[in-house]
Amino acid sequence: MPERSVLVALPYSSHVGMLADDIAVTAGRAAKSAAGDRTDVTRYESLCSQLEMLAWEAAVDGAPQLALPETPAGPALPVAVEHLVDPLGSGLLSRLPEPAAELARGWLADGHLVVNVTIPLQAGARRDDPPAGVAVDVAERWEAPNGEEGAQAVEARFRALLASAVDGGTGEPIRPSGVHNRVLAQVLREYVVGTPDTRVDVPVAYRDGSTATHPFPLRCLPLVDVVPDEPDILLHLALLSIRHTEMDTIVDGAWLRNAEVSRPRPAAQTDDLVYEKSLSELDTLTNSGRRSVLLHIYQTGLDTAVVGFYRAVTAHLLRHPGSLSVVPMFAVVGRPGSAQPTRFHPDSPWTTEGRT
Amino acid sequence: MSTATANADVVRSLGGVYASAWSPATQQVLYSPDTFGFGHDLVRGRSSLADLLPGDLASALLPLAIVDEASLACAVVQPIETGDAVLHPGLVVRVFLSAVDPGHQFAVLDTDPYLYVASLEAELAARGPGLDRVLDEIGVAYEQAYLKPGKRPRDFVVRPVRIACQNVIVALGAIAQDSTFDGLSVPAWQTCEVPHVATHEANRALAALTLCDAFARGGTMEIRFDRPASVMLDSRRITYSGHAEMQVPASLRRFGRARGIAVGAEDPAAITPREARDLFLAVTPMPVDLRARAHRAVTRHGLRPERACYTLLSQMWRDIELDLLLATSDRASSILAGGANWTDRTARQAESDAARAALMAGMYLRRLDGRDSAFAGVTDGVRVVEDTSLGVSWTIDEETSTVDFHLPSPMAPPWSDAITAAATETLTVAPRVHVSDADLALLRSRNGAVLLPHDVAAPPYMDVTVLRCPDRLADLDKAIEAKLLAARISRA
Repeated sequence: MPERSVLVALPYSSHVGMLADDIAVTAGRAAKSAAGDRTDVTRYESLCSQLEMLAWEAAVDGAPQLALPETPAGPALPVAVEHLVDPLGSGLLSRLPEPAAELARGWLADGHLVVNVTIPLQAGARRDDPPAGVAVDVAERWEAPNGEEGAQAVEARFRALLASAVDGGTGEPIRPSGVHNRVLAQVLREYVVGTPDTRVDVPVAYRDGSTATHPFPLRCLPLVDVVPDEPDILLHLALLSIRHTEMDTIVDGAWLRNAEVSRPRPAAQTDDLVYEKSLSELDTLTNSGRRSVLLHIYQTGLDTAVVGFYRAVTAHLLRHPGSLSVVPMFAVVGRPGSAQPTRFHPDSPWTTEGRT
Repeated sequence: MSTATANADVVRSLGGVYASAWSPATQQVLYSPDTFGFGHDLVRGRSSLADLLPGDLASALLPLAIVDEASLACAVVQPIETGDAVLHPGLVVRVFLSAVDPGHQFAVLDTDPYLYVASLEAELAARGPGLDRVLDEIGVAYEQAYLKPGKRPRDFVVRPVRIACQNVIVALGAIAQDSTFDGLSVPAWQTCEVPHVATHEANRALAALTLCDAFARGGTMEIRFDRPASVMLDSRRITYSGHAEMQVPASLRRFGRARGIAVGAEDPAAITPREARDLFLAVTPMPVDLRARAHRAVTRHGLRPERACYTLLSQMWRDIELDLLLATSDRASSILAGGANWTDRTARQAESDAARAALMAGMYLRRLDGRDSAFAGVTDGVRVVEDTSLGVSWTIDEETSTVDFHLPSPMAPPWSDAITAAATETLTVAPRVHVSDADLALLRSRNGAVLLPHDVAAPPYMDVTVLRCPDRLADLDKAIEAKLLAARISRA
């Protein structure tokens, strides 16, 4: 399984110059695009392929080239051009060994583009085959300790995961997939209660194998059950738009747009998206903790959205205690989507005392 | 085990068969000596075998039960040599009464006569309630709630499964993801043997489908047969306490024994995650080389066996494609998991080239292996569109990243730009996007060909045969992107 990486000095022309510019611009756009949106990523990769093919053809025709001892890894454009800023990092040349980088700088000074082409299917630098013994073990079975069934069993399983993560200190992630949104919010709240001294950051992994970028801070907040009587802002919001339209008559709006959140992508990316967006919105809404905000959140059952949102609430309250109160609202009569009118019941709030 | 001990075990097992009290349904299919007064006459059964098989073979088999209208289950009472294998006394094999491919004759049904008949007893007892459950309740409820309104079911919904071969239903089941144990619950599982389908194929197919669903739902891969499930039919809730047998179905355990896999051994009511892994590997067809490469990827590169099996069974990557990826790229695990981050262009380049080569090799195999039944001189009669494969096989040279296609008869390589390309039985092909001098030297020495995307220029002074894939580079990349996306969200 050989893999070879070469640097090619591609003679500058307006065509390849424009191609390199397009690659840089598209990479910048792709880096800013929403999680799971592959439109610009696909375009970026297509442009890169075109440039790499041109570089390879030039190499076959005798253009200067240098075989690299190792494949350069990490985020970077596959091309270096004089005055081109790499939007992905410090650039191709910074990832090369110094002799190769020096040669490449010479090529750039001579008016060439430097393109990195990696060819996996031919003789060349071979990677070391890793040793045996990295086989992934099967998942652990879980059995309800007290014979719980149905929703109680799901709750017991999630509670056991949290307890193990918090008390065991094993670094094992919690796995919210398949857990009812009410259970998620209630059990997470229980485990968020604590003080900054007892804080434990727990990774969050989903059943598709993806792990959220941000761990969930647990045992970190002195949550209280009292919400402010006269907040500066009071809003009733559905967690996700469109999902349950019967909520529309009782909410002021939706916290998240379903069209942005419910896209085919690894679950952890959705969690990240919801967390980052919510954290930013909460900061704006509370004017960085200077305003008191009370949100009634009418929940829907997307585990990634629930976890991402309440992680953001927790992080916000850690930064700006007392500036935010979130009251989860759960359907208690009639199921969302059924013919029966749905009524919602408030649950224990996520809030702390002491606005700074 | 000595032959004498083996024979004693067979006699003891057969004694258990004839001395036990079986239900009328089981008795209807059993052969027994006249003195036991139930089932079919064993003497007549033996004479039927004697009419069908050579004398020594017929005397090595004892009819045990009727499998279907065209085959019998027979206990092996003396060793039988079948080409590359020896059937030892005690095995229960299927004897077809009509002409079949020799590979299917004497297929192992079970490892012990008594266990076989006991499994029939359990299977037949649950068959009626199981069929009623799937056909009259679960299937109808699913149609009302999801098929007619065109609604997509959530993963916890009880979903019916039906597997048919040539319009004959061979397997029925019902599955649902169960968050109480983070695994798959199976309230219905029914299979049968039919004359035109290979032995245990219904079990294999339903097991494969069930395991794929368990993988796709993202749970622990535990599959339980004793968990309650319910459906709504005509506004009425019907609740099942579990599978009708309340344990791993007898037919599935029998399949496991025939394949040498423990199923339901750790917990009689469940296939545990470890058993599921073994079963998944057993039900996933893989050529020998691919199986060895998958094993290496599992032990050295951290590839999950379940992902390799799911990849093949879902056709996300086909067997030759996966074989080439595993053989030629250290990045195969990453590709199967959805690919490296796009910002790491070096990794993505390497992955892309490996994936493009795999995709082109797969397309070329299908082109080589497919027989055009409309063209092949068939001008009258029924046109058969099933299984038009010619039987082309392949081997992959890991050092040179080339594929040797082994053709059943000499054939001029298709997609060739050389009209006069010589017919050959073994064709060495290097699927490439970037062709190096080393590739050309190798192909010259082996009289091989390079397989390129439609729009990739061949190197100048090319003196080896060029095969042109009909797809352009962008087409290949689009197909690969779809596969990578499917891999990234397959366990959602």
